[in-house]
Amino acid sequence: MKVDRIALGAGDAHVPLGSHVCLFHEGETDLRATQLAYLRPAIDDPQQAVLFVGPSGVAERQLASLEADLGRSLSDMVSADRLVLAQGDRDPDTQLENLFGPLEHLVAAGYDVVRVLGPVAWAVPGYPPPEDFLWYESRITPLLTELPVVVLCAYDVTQLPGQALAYGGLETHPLVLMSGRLSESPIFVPPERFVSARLVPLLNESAR
Amino acid sequence: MDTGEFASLAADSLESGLAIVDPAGTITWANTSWRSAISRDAPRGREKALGTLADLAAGARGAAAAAIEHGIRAVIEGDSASFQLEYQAVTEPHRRFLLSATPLRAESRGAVVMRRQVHPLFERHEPAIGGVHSAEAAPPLDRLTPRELQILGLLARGLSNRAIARELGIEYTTVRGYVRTLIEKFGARSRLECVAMAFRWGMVE
Repeated sequence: MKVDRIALGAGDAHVPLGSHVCLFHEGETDLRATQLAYLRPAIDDPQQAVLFVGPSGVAERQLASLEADLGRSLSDMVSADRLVLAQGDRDPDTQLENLFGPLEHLVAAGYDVVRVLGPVAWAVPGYPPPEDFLWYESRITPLLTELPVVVLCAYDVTQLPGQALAYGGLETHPLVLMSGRLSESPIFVPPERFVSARLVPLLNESAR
Repeated sequence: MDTGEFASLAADSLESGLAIVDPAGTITWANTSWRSAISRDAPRGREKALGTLADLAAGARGAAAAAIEHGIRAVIEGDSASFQLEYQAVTEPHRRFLLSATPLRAESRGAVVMRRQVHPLFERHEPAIGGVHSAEAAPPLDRLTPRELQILGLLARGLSNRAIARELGIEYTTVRGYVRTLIEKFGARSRLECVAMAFRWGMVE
């Protein structure tokens, strides 16, 4: 059966395939609850796949927490390449390749749905500097068109600074999930304008 | 209002609130937490409107109004990159809250306001976006090849290396090499800082 929308596992939020969603969560416990609800359908359905992406060690940590919450190992999914761990990189273009390379393989393998979860970091070693990270986020939305993929980027409001939440969370994601409610971001900046309208002025203001 | 009263008001509102305000102080969008505070405190006849920050601050007594009165006036004026007000809940001293406002200057004007409980290890000083002051550096105009200038123009449009390779009909790895060279020649710390410098010096439009 062809799938064109999936549940995010929070409230009754459903999104079409090809969606790029910002999840604002409050700490690790909140993220794990959403993670479990969002990814469980993919674990139960052999026609769906999972991809974790994040800074060094984060994807592995998310897998471990998911296994702990499920009470079982997912090594079978990893061995079958149905669950993939993708790593961030200081170079944002390499990080984009590290995300979409495996995604394209999963799509080519014929999965009906690929669910991506990426906890967000800000200004950490081995990860793009903030301005490059914002560029990376802005590039994801147009690349998801026509793909049976949903990308959920997790922004921890208890950890991340305001610029990450406002520019990264709200301006680069068309959809926002917060407190179990899904809405369109009222300040989404179209990708083709994000560099000239947001990043360049921001960087040049800071250089004054 | 002193810190203690302020904090005690905030203590009973643990769910994060997020609102977007325009330069006039009108709340144009809010999540459920802010909406609940607004609808509870809004004057009669304006229940359906999102209201303004001044309305909330003037007449209301809720945690949101107190937080706005203490935080937002300092944020909306001036050229601050952002504003943060951190406070401790009186009734639960182990909980720390943050009211922050981040200006919007892209498609929208105004600010994104967030009220949230923060982790004890929260970074209190935001790592700057950019942060490298290169105003005195000279543009590397005479040190760029025609191909580098061409790729710089495509970077300025926000294209990825793969998209640039497709546009120019060259290998992805070749583009990657050019981008690294450009970043070095500009003395930039990042891909986007390189682009910003190019805009600043009028090398791209």
